[in-house]
Amino acid sequence: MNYRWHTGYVAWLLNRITGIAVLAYLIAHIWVVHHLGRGPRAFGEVMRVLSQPIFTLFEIALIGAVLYHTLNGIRVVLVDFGGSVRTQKRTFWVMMAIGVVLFVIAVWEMVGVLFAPVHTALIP
Amino acid sequence: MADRGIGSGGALGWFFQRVTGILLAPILIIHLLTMHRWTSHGLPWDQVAARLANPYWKVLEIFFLVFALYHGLNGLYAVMGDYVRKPGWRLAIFGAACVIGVVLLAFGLVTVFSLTPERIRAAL
Repeated sequence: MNYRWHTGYVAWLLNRITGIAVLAYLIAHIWVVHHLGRGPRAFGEVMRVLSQPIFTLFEIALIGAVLYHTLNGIRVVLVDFGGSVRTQKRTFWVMMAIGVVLFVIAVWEMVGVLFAPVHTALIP
Repeated sequence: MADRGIGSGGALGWFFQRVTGILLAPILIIHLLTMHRWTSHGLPWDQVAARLANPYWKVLEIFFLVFALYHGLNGLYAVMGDYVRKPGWRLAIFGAACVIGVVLLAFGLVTVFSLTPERIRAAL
């Protein structure tokens, strides 16, 4: 096995990459949500843009990053506080299996929403 | 690890990263369900604003904002700390992370507190 690209290193690296991606989204999300305070018209205009299918693609990538970061984070906490160092590689793959199931469910939900009628009552 | 001064992270930063991470997982699930899943497609202002005007969801979102900003910026600081070694630069990045955190927190809090039942009744 390659000593650089072993499971633990890749898991750690992906945690950093997904963490930075989710932080970038958080900042964008706070900015988007601040339109709520500017009233129905301002918020409706932003939501009309963000309801386009291209943003669903971004959201699918986002849910993947969040799921990875959360489930790998649970593994890290388990190792740090529970001390399951010897089984952590197996724990990692169990977490990834849970992640794949949750990802499929999330994508199913999000793609389903794409075909739902857009609530237009307050969109100008 | 010569640098043990302000912004060095240290054991407390490590510990709070885990505590906020553990708390963020259930808060994120509730946030996704209440603000995204159990609202109409296109996130109409009246539905989202009404949720945020409710004191219970308001408190949850404030905790979410505080924990997510802390976790994200503390994580980013830890990542940058691995590549930036000079104490002066580390302090500058720490200061920048604090300023960005306070500004985004204020931005988010203004949004959350601006949404009250009276405001929603007046807007509709």
